[in-house]
Amino acid sequence: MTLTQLKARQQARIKAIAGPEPLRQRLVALGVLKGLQVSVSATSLLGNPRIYFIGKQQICLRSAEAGYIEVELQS
Amino acid sequence: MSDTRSSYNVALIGNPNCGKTSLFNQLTGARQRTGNMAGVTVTSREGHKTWCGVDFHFIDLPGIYSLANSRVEEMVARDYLIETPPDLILNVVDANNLARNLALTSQLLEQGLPVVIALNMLDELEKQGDSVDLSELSLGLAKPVIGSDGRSNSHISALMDMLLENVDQQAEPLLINYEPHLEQAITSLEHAGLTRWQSVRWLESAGEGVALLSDDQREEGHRALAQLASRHDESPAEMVAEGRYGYIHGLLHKSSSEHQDQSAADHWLDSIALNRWLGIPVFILLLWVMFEATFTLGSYPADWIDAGVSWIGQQVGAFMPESLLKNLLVEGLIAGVGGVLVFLPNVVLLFFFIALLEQSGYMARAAFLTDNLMSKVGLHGKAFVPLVMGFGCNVPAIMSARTIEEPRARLITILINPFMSCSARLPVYVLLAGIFFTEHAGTVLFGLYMLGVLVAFAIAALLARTIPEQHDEAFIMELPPWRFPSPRSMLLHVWDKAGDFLRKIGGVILVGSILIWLLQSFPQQGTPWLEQLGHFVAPLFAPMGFGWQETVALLSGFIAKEVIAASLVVVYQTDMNDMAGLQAALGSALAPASGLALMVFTLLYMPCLATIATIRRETGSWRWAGVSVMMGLVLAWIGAWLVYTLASLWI
Repeated sequence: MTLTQLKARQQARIKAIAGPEPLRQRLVALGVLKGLQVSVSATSLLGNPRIYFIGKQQICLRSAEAGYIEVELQS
Repeated sequence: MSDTRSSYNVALIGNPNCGKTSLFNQLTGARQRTGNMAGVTVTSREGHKTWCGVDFHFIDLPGIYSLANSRVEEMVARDYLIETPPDLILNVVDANNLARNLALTSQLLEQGLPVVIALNMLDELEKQGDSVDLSELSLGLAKPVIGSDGRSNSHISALMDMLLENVDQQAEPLLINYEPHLEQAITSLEHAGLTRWQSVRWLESAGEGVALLSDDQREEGHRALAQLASRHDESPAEMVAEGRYGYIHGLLHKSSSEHQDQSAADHWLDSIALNRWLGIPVFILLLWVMFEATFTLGSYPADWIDAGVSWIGQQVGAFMPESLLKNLLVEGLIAGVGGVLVFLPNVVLLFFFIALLEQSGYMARAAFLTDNLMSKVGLHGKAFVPLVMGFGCNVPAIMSARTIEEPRARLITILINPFMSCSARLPVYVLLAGIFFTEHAGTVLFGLYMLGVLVAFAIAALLARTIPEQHDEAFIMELPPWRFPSPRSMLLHVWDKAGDFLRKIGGVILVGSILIWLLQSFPQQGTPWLEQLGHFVAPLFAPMGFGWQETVALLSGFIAKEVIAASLVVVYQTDMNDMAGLQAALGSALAPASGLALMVFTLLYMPCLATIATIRRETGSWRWAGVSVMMGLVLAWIGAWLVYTLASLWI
């Protein structure tokens, strides 16, 4: 599943990052890396964008970008 | 040999929002704008400080996450390092996000640059119960590390000493061990004549971050990238990052104890500010409170200034013999300058509230709340900073649109910026709203600003449908933690804004008041020139119920918008020389509906001269500057007429 499908209060881990090269570089530079723990922090009125806890940071992503981040749920 | 040198260049480099500009301000005594949000610094800035007889020349580079990305800010920093290598780099590191901040540090170290590290915002880290062992970190990095705090000056002398000791630092490039296939690629590039750091940079930027010398090198570079791509799903950028973070975690394992999650207070604040349903109402409420307070709280000190100005006017009036010079002083200079000076408290308050929203970290949250709406009208999420800056002054706001890379989104952001009501227009609103809508002045202010935003968005939507988009630009924003604004930096900020306002009063408004007075006083027999001019143009404004006085005031506002208020004061000045007199005169000359229309006209009509020049420079053509002027005039006329017509029915 991708980050966009993550529901509130679910915990997941980043499995892979796809997408165009500049986006991947951008995410990497922000410290969004494979293996980091993610959860949803906030959802805007219309559901897009959302804010995610990624590692220790809060990062705001639109669905277009979040859809490239593959995650796996953690129980 | 360098013992004889007495001047050194020091570049400040760090992640966005790591407190770099605050530190720069402390070091150089400069007062550059800061805010708790990424991207406040776009271009590099310079300042000086002399320490122990040595002259330090500081360069504040834009905040960057990496030297390998190819965004505007990153290219500014990267080119700077290559073209004019500084003698020393002051790498500012946010202690609260050590790993990511050190990723940039590791790029600097790999490049073999002379670096000292300032660990910023240590106090926040300690408040969370975490700690960093500075000497252990310094040992690991093999570079001097010092704690710093953008809010107090106590660290500055130690920091300057450290810079002085390190001006001749001999730097060995850092060597990070990467994954075997990556190492293979690096080696092949080194054989082609690249240095190790250039090889790494080439790979992690997928061939963007280094200017290669020969075709052979370029070919080898692309071959290495292709081979990596065939062996790994991950991008080379990720593989390099893994190496970097491996190195960093090894480092931090020894020096830092971090286990922080979001603090309870932050969590609580976010649960309201970012709430799906409450977020936007709270945002609007905050803005309303801000404008209400700007008007109400500002009116007390404004009364004192008004009393002071009219006392001076009376003294001059009483002691000077009757003469033209006396009239010039009392009716032109003192009335005009005083007429704008009384709004100083309102302007200062508005800047105070905006700074409060920025430094607390709320602005980034507001950008999140409004992103959807902004993207619907063709604006990029990054447009939020330039738009909010527009409430202060449109000139720096338009320049800050440089962070937006997609040309259409940038052009739209520039063209709609003049509709964000700048602080120069505030005196006009406060004056008129105070006369015609005394009970609801704050709400009228709020309404005017919102009208500006609405028009800006409508125009943006229109432009987005007529200009083709060139490419998509991702919107990825890091949310800063909540911060309690430092009273010191808030005070400095407000002090500066007051200074700017006073300088403008002493310059353009003073000259404008005298000019208006001269035009109104000559010829001494017959109709004054100003009135003639006013009557000539007035038919154009008659549908809104404006007299020749308002017409003249609006014409004078082409130079700078504050002049409108000064002109009104000078033109209406009869024998009364305080605000109450002017209010009475204006109140009886204009219908409330016309007063409202005048405010709307002031809000929307063409940008001031400085803004027009900036639009011309930033878009590179007079065409867009012309479009902006025409658009403003047409919209202002239609808007004011509509408001006048509708308001006449209701009021």
